[in-house]
Amino acid sequence: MKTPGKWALFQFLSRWFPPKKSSERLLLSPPRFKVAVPGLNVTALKQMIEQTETDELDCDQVFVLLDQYAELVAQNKDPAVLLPQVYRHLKRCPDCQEELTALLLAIQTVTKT
Amino acid sequence: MTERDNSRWVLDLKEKGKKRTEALRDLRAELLRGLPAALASWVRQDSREFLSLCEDFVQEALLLILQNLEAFQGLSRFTTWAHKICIRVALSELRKARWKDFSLDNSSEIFESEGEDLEQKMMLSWLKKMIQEELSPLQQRALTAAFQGVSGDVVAQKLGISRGALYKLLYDARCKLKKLFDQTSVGRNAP
Repeated sequence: MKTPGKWALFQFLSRWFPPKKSSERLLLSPPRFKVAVPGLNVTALKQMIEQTETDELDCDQVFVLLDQYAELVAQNKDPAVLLPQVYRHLKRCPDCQEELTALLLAIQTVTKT
Repeated sequence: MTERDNSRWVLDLKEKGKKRTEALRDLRAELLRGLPAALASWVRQDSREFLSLCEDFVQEALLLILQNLEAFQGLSRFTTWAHKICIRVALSELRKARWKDFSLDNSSEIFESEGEDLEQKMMLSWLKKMIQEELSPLQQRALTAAFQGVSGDVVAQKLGISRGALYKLLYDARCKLKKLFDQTSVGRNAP
């Protein structure tokens, strides 16, 4: 019986064990898994509900203003006063907060070099 | 790299020919300088594979930037706006990878408290009851994921809606819960 070649074996294995993408292979351990189950943070949940406001911006609206907000932070201006709705959204939205942190790191690096 | 103000960036990128090619080359270099710092806490950067990953993100971002030039309002420097788009592209992809194995089911066991605190247990069981009785199935799934700290990007993608729409869905759920919360005495003395 003819034995399968390496390429055929690779194709067979790839079907069942697809190779990971670069984004998966290089990923560092996720810090936000710390807040995952088990054991919910009751205080945080209570705050999440209690701090609901009538005039909140959503993530898409905040994204439009995020570059302006980042520059205010980079210039040591007070965005809580200048863009208060964005400031409050960032306090309750981890995704947007992550994007702001990354943006600040990027523009600081580019300014330095 | 040519120095450009905001309007120059937009004009050059809208042009056809040499000016556009040069502007794209400069913008690519600018984004590639900032991205490694932005991703420092996200990915390992000690391999060539990382550079190739950055290139992929930047290429995708450049396409989006060209498609959305009209959306640039000039409220910040053009390069800051471009970095913002590049970071959104990169983090969206990395979040998908981070939460790859997460399934968006309506698991109510997250409300089972392991602690001893009676008030916290009461609060959790009240919350569980209100969520199950008062919220729509879609709101229940989204809120349960939010309580577990799952990225909104990932939840929105799994529900087939935008992040803005997810935020609105969760906002309506929070408003409803807040109203119910204000009407009861549960958790008044909880921490």
